[in-house]
Amino acid sequence: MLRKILLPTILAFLAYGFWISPDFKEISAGVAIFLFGMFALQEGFAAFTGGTLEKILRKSTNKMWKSLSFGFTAATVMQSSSLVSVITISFLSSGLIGLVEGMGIIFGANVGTTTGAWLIAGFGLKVKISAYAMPMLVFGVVLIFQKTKSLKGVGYILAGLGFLFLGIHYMKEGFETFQNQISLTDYAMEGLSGVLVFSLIGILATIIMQSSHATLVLVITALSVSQITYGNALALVIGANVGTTITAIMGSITSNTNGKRLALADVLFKVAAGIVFIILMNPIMDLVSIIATSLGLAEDDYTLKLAIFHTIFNVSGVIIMVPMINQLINLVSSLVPERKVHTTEPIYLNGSALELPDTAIEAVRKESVHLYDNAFAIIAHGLSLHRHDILSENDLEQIIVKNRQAIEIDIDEQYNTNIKYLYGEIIAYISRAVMIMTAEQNEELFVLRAACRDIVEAIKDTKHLHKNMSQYIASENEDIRAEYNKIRIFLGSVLRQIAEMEYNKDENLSVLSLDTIKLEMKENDTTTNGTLEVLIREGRITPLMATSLMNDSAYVYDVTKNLVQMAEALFAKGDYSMKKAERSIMLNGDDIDEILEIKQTHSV
Amino acid sequence: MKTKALVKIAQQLIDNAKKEQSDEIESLKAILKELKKKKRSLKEKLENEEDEIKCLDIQRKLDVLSSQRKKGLSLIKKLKKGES
Repeated sequence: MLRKILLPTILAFLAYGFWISPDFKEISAGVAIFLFGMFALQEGFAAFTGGTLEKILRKSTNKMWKSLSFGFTAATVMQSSSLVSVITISFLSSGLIGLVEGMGIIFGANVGTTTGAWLIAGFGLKVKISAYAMPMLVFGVVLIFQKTKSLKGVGYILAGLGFLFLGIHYMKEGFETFQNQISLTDYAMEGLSGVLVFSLIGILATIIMQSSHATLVLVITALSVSQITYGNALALVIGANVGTTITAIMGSITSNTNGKRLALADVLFKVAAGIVFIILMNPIMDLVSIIATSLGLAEDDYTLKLAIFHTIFNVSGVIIMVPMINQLINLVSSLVPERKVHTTEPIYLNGSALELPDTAIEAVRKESVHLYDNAFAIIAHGLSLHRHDILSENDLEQIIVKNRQAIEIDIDEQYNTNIKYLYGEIIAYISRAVMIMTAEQNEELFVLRAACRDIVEAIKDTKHLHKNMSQYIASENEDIRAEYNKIRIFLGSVLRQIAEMEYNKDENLSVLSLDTIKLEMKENDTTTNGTLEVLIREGRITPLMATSLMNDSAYVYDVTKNLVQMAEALFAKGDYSMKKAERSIMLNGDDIDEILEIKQTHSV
Repeated sequence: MKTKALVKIAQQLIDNAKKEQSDEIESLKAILKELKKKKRSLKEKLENEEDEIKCLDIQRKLDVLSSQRKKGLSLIKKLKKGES
């Protein structure tokens, strides 16, 4: 219930916000563009997994000092530790590097970002990499249209970076109103409360301006005109360092668990360092003064003193944190646990049944039926049919013709959730059970194992079939729609017949009746009974539709064959000799061909 | 192991195989009997059915039943031959 109303509530809140505040609209658009950039960036880096970039990254980050140097260099060149953090999160999400390497890069970037403070303090210089956003977007999009995988990858990376900058630009624009309202003199305070308040202002100012460098410029300006005290300025620097993690936090929204862990590690690192520096503020101020004096700086050269403080802050943070990296990994791993994928658990496979061969066989049979029940739902939805329609006694043709809407289903996801684990457990159980079985019982297990494999194969073939089917059942071309509906009717009736057998609706129904499906399948094969030729010759379907239909007929054949084989194994009744006798008179391909030949002779 | 004991084991194995074979014949006979009953009832149904599609459907089932019975009968013959 809560989930159902959550999305409309968020959308309504956003719409209201856009209506009352243009700034809010701009900030939200910035966040959206930024997140889109993250998607593009991850897509781009994913193109390079297993390639040269991965090799280069692995080689340049396989030792802690290498990761640190990598991060330091990258942040020095880019003049933005946030950007390095965001790119590192994309590396991590694409599986190009591991969490330890990622942390190393981020720690290195934190040191690298201190060069910015020196540039600002020493030369008043500010590298504005956002100026490259527009060209990056244009080059990126041009490259995305290329066929080569690597060029496409580069295109996505460039476009991703372009969108990141553009997003940050819009966020800054939106926050500009608030930025002008920040007057540091209003908050001038001494002592611990002053440090805490100014640290908080530093965090907020950096979030608003989306740049710790911008905050540094603000601090230096305020300090030069004595708007704030030196102590307050240092607190602002601490706050700016914590606030800059907002970019990494936003970047981690679209990333996987490891990306989120890395962003959290970055936050923890900076918050912990911030707390330590707030506590040790006075001794550190003395240390800064000693270093400044030894460098020959004037007593009131606060801008360079700030750069020294910024460097001490980040370098000592890294020195403290690097030896504790494993503890930090454990902490973030427990705070951001791996999202547990809900998988279907076995119901009947219990260890004690392994002592009794017949009970073990029955457990495997029941579990295989459980597997089939899960597969039934996937296959039915793959055919855009509802389970209740198949299990009802309503005319399938009427249901199908009326319903042209494809059911949305991610067959891969359904397979991973409801089939894969269960299938694996059955196979493992069988391999343990065979140890105590006679040859006859082993044969029974072999049949059940083959039935499970048939179920899995049927799902995989349905997946292939699903792609064209969901497109053509909604087609305006009546003929192709009718052909795909025929397939749905046929496979729906196969599922229905098997369900009748499973739920024992007719006591006299034996697995031998499934042989009728084999005959029907051959008789109705559009590709061999001349229907396809007529449709192409008369121009009623395009050649593309014809090839789709031909390929899909093969899948229909395989799905049917697998389902029938599975049902013969799982739903056969009676004792061992009865099952064996039934299997021995089931019709094979040659028998079916013989029936068709006799029919043709009679019709001639 | 004495010869007598070996002969006894061999005899037991032969008896088991024979029993298995006769069980299979009995099972086949029971199935064929059931199929025959089904065939008869389907034939009656076919005579009274007027819908063309349903007729085709019944005919298909009859064709399959005939083929299965034919396969079963020849299997019984083979098994009986082996038994004798």
